Amino acid sequence: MSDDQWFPIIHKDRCVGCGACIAQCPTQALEQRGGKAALVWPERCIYCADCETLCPHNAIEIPYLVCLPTSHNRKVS
Amino acid sequence: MQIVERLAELPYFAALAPAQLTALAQHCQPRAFPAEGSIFLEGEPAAGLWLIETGRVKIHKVNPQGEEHILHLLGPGNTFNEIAALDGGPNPADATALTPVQLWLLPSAALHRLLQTDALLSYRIIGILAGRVRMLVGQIEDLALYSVTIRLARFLLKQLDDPALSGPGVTRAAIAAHLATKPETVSRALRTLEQAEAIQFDRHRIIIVRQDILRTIAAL
Repeated sequence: MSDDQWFPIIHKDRCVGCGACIAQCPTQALEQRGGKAALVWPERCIYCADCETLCPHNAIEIPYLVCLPTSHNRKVS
Repeated sequence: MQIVERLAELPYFAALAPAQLTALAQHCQPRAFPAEGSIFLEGEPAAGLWLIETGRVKIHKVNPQGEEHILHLLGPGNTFNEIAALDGGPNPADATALTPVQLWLLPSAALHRLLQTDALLSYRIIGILAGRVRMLVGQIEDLALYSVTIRLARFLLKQLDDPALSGPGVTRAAIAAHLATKPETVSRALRTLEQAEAIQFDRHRIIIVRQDILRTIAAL
């Protein structure tokens, strides 16, 4: 997975469309689509993880890559 | 690629002779599951021994409150459900695909027949089971004796040591389930490790910048 493919994962089955993440996203990367949160502007996402932290339904997860300084591209987790 | 060749590429069966692999291949059944697909549930009758060809699988238990505890994260070449396949009891935990997975199922009856005739395979499975017991004893020790920060440090170091866990990334929720704690607690522990200058965040990366510090925190 290349660097530009790491984004928050929104579980549509858990999202109730409350809009909390959209209201709090510091870069307005999220919008409502079909009654659910959607990462409409992924290039704006700064990976702050605020959306994951505040979602009351655990519908958003932020995946991380655990690595060493010299092996940024090695997928180990 | 023939089934025999694919099985021979699994570390589990790498030492088996071609004739043994051929006998094995006659019994192994290919299975595929999508990401988040349930492979089996705790308490169900065990179908047999499972081998991972591609993808990642979690072995986990869920308590009545819906809280999950991940026992094992497994990747290509790993096997699971040996215990139930051998003792004939029900599955001891749930198995769920974390990514799309391709698996091999060796039915329990076929496994029992192979074990009776193949000492090398028997030794290999005993070795795997012994490793599992050691891992579970280690988990009990971690839960009983060590803080979440220490357990998290150990978890992060283990990620570096196990190439079988290569995959699409790890989330706070997954780490929390593995450490038997809450995602908020994982966040606090990650901050503690960051303040100790053992790790740094670089967008989606958790970079272990000082393995020595992390090992000290991990009490290793």
